[in-house]
Amino acid sequence: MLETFSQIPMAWLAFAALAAAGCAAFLAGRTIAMGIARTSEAQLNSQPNYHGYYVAMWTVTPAALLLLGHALFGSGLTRSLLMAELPDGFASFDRLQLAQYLDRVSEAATLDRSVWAGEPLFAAVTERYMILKGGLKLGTFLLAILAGLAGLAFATRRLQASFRARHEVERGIQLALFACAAIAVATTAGIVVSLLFESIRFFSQVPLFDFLFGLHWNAQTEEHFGAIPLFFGTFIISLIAMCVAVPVGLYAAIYLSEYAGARARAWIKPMLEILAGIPTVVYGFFALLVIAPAVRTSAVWLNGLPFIPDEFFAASSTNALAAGLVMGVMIIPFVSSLSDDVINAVPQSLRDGAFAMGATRSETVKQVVMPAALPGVIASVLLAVSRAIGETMIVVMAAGLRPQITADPTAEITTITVQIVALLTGDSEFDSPKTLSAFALGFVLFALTLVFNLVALRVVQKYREKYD
Amino acid sequence: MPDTSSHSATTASIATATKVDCRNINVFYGDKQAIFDISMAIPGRSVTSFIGPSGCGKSTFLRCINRMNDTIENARVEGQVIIEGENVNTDAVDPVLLRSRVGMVFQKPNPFPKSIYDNVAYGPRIHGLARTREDMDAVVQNSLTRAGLWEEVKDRLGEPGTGLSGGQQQRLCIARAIAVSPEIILMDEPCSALDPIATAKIEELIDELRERFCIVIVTHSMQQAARVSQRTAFFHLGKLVEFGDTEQVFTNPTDDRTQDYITGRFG
Repeated sequence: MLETFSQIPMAWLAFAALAAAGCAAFLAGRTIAMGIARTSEAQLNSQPNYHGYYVAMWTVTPAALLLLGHALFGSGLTRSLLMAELPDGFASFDRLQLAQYLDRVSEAATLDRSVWAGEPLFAAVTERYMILKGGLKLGTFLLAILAGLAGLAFATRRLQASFRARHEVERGIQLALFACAAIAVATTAGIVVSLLFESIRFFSQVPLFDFLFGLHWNAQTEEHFGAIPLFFGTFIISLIAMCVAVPVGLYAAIYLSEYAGARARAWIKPMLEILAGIPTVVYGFFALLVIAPAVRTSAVWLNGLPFIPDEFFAASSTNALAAGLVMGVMIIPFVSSLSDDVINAVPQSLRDGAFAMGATRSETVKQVVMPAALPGVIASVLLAVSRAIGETMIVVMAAGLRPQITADPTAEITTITVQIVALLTGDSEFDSPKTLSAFALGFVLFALTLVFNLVALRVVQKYREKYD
Repeated sequence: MPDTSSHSATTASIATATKVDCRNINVFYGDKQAIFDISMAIPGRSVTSFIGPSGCGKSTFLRCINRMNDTIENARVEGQVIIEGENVNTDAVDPVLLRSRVGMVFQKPNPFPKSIYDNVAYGPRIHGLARTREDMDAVVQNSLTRAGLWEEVKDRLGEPGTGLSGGQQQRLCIARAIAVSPEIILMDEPCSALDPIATAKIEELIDELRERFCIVIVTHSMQQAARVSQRTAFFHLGKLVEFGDTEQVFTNPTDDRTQDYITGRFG
């Protein structure tokens, strides 16, 4: 019986049951409240509906929490229970083998019996696994029903004329909203902690100093973990990208907010936002298939010129310039829309003042609007930089994989993000320095973008105080 | 009807030579007409005040004189604005040059986010009025002195203009406006954001400035109009109802609507 129960998908069933229980509890609570209203002399503190919501809240929440707990930790718990019971023959398995074995078991458990007919030991383990899983599931379900009933009993007993159900429901809503906010914060914290933890493991094998200041990177051979070439590549590509994005984005923003009429604005702004919505992989293959070959052709042509030494430019088929240029185009809407907001926030009275002094539009922008908007513009540029540093897809496709320090923009170059992708794709052991170095790189990346974002936020806040 | 009354009023009481002669001004914002056929002869070297209830078009009319309405999308100004014999409301006249002749001070003090010195030097710089550093220093000192601000700020010319008090900021804006030696200064409710003491200082200043400039001031305070101006124009619903010597407008208005407004019966 428990075996078959283990194969029933519980999520939908549980969801339906919870919804039904909630409705029933709501009706029960409301009916009770209306009964109180009819019989008691005092007036109800809250409307009957609130009593209904209150009872439903108390009925559904404990059960839902139990079921959620099962969904999150159920399979892990089943596996550890099973592992504790495994016969001695498995003692020779190391962690990875054991994990793979258990993966097979849990996969087989969802299939037909005939699959494992040939192996008696495997069959026995799988049967046991199914019993454990089914038992845990059934147990959780029964417990959830009990919890729901307990909640129902507790809540209905509290109902009386003077009960402030409306107030209690408000508190419940506040808690639910807080829980949602907490999930976001907890996720961030969890990511940071896991990055930090794995990075520390990496640095126990590779000295921090060698990582941060080493000039040689070759993670595939697990010998050289000097990340300077990667930092350099990230820096060069971001620099090229900002050289494109900052002037174009800023001037576009100035045009939109200072020159464009309402009609042009209504056209151009959405177009720029579409640019922001293009998936980066599309930019990536554009960079790889169109821009990179063009850069290469130009570099070859330049190499052929008489006054330029042969092979002066590397003319690589994937190169920093192509990735940087396309990334710059991708970032234009970030710079322009943030700067546009900032420029629009400059009070109209300042522009009027300049116009009334006989300044032209461009003089007004240059001498009055931009100085006033500068902190906000700087913030938008910093946000764009952090975006450029973290960008992955374009550089993976168009920048190449070779870690080297070179000022030649037509050379192949690699970035932190590209290396992380390269390190984690394909088969690899989980605790080798090679894999762990990806976490260290991720941590550096996170720290970098965090610093840029914090500084940008700081600048924006300071700027806001000035005009409000 | 308002047209004829305004004309009779203007012709009846011209004491000084006309500086700005507005003829048949109509202003439209898109399809909406804001000013209806206003003609008015504003005298030089005196203060003319515009009064009237909110939304009556007095600020819009004021902004016709330095063509600030050009900066508003879909605003259209018809008619002639004749300054010293030349119609400035045509495409042939560059509004940028016009505005160096017609300065403006706004309702809210709007010093640029620059130093006090640079605020005053702004106009002379963009119009190339001062050749040397010494010339510019002289222009700045002169303008600040005339705006009655020099003594208060002479030791901190390098500090940002936005750090001054509201009244000082407004006087800084007046200094900025007079630094380019305009012929006319327009003031759009210059005291409405100021306390009574700062207001008194500005009014005193206006009285001094009228010896050199033609000043047009929009105000919501009838006492202010009575105190500082020699001429008063009363606007109502985009039309000029009455225009004449301030004393006459306040003591013996010819139009009932003026009478009602200045005695507080509407507006």
